[in-house]
Amino acid sequence: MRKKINIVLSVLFIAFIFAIFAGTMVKYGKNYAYGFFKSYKEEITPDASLYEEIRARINKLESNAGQRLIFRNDMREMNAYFQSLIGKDMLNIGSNYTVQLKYGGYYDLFTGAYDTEKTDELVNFAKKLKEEKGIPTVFVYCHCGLYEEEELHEIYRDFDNNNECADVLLKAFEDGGVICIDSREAYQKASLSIDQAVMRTDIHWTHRMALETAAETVRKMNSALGFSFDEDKLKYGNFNVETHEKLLYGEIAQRLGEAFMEEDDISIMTPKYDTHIVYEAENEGTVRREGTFEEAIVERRKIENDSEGAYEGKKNTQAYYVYGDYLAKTHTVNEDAAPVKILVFKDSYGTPVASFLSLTMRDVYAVDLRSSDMSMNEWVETVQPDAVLFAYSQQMLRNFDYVIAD
Amino acid sequence: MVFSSNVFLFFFLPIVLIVYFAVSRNRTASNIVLTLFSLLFYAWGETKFVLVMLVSIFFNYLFALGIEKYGERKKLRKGLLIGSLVMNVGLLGVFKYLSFFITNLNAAFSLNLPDPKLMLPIGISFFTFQAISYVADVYRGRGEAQKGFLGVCLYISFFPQLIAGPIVRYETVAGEIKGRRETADDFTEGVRRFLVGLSKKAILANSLALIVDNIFSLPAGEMSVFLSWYAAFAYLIQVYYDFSGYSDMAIGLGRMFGFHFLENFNYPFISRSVTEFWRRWHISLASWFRDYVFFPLGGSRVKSKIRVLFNMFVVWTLTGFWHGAEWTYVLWGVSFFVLVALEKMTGLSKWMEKHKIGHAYAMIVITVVTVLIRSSSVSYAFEFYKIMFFVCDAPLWNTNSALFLKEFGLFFFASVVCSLPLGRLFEKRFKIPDGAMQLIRGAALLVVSFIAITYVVSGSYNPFIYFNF
Repeated sequence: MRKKINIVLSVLFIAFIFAIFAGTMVKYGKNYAYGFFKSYKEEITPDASLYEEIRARINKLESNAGQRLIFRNDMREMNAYFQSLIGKDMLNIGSNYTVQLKYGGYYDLFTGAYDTEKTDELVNFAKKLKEEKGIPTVFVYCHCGLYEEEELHEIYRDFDNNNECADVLLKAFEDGGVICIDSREAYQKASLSIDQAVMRTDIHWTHRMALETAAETVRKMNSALGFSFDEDKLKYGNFNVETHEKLLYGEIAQRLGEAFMEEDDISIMTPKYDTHIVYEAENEGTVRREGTFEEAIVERRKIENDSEGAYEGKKNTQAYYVYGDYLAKTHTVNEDAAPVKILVFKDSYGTPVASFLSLTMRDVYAVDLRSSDMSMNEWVETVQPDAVLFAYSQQMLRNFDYVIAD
Repeated sequence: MVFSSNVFLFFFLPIVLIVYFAVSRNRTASNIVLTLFSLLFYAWGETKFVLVMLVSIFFNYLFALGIEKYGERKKLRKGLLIGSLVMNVGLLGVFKYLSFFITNLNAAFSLNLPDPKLMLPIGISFFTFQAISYVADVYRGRGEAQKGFLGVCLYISFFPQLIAGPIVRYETVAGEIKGRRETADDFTEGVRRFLVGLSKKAILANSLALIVDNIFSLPAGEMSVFLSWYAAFAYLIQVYYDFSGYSDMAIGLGRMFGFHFLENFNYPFISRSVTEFWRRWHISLASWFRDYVFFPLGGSRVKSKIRVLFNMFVVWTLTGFWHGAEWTYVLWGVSFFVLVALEKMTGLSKWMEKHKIGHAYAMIVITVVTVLIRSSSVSYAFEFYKIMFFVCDAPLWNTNSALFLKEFGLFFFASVVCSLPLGRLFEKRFKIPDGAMQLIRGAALLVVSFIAITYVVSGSYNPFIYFNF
């Protein structure tokens, strides 16, 4: 009997791994080949050694195997379902501990302590900028997920350090003399509910929350730095709101699956007042658009269901990028706004903030260092801004490899 | 590359199986295939160090050939054996222990010796011990030296046991390098064993790692006495599942290709003494030290008890040091020496093995000692002990205790149950027919291994403890 059972097990196992291997090669073979022969070069410098080149190719294959595998999403969803079935409320998929908040949305717990050494580099950069060039720096802290501690079931509160770490990193900036905007305060001032502030299916915040943070940034820059930006332009009441129901299938939903949640609604906000903006974006090529805020900045293709980010051809995973992707550099010119030049170093949270700021500032340069070959210093030398903004979430600052001052 | 990864399961393994069985009728060709894939397997994680390993293999190949060639000249043979030992231990010393010695010399004598901070080649402790086993077994006449470099290269670098053991003695597989037969029975039994190991690793070891790593990184203020014991015991079981899972996968893979490795674990958690535990735990390492260190030192057949104690002390200190170049590992090894010596000298182990209380004694003592190797330093370990033994203000229970029990309690419980031979007891007690039991086991393995694969594909937390050893 044991031999027969072994044969069945072996046939099923071997057939399974061969089917995944063959299916993956048929579906994603081109991606694997592209990574191995071409795009591995993005990971290395032109003068890289043979060893570095081999490592980069191996890393590409490894990351492709992690991401591009047939039935990967189904198996991930099955795993989440299994965990839920055995009574786990804290679901471990990848490196995340995901729990459901009381209002129904899902949230990735933040564990561990925040390492302020990482913040020090940015603080020192800000100090140097002020001393040597007289350029002020502002830190816009983009909080992720947990705007109300009570939303978290009590059992997880000691384990989650999101707010504690946020306090630590903000204190590090404040102690270094950097003016800080805490999006948690913007949330309180705007009297939002957590459902209005964060996505249910994703780690990102809503466009509404980004708008309120941009408005708070403008208020603080006016009061603390003496700028005279038009604060009314970022009042929520001055925007038309267009809601697209059940559109976004964000990162958390992709991890856990349909059994756990429905898609998020996406709201696009466009000013009720007249605008004229020139938008230029650089990544692999240059894009130039001119017109109203909506024509120049809002990327409608991001809310199409079959856009390039669609999840298995059905649902949209990219809708929160309506106000811009993580391009290396975008530059907006708004002649009707205050004649000030701002350089924003940002991550995906900061992208819509920078877009909304363009309504009140003449020149807004928004840079994502993950896609840029230039350092912060080089960007300052190139742009010569009147003020520098860091618009970062905690995750970005924890993953400090991307944020390079020199 | 680790076995519980997408790359291994869905790319490396299918390809190596196709290529190997396409040429398996030709032994030289199939050995070349296995060797090349083994080098690729190693290079995947440690591209730079493939050369180091090849150089080591090459010199061991020459030493063994020399020992066999000069069979009549005892002094020359011994000289070659010592030469090989110096080279192997030297290699291990440079890569694994140099930084440790320099750091400690600098601290002790206020020196400023530069620390080269060499990276540790993965699995160096395992392949070095296999290399020593090769030369020593040829020297003792327990296996013939391989005439071609390929045979030695395959023996030492064979990917199933290359980076985390079990330490395969040359005498165990000497005949199979050239004379093995791949059979359907071996292949299917190998697949079964591989699936058992994969399930142990992906479901149990990795879930226990979540308990352990999170609790050990909690600030002292968030700890409780319950958490400290929970994490300490979870760590001991995690190491068991991590390593025995890896050993199962290695034994299974070896069998798929016609090799028969010896068992590495034998239900260590049913032990009633520390001495018994070490007869059942990491058998390949314990027996390696017994045969290649303890016996050559004279073992227990020496005139004085002091000398026996000295021999045991050397073995246990080296066992600790083999696991890691840190004082925590040395102290861990010395602690086991003290416990085993006490048990032997007082007859405690024999008494404990006859009484059920021996279980509790062995588990508690071993759990406490194992905290040492999970701690980042000796002082951290003692801070942890303070919490375990109520020597500080930590509460007995707190919110985090509830969280970790609720979220991981089931895995913890399942881990404990699966580490015991309860299936056999169940079978005997209820007199279940063998066929039915096989069916139940087979169906359970099918479900469990599929769940394990979903964990692997999900990219779940997947640390491999024995990589650093």
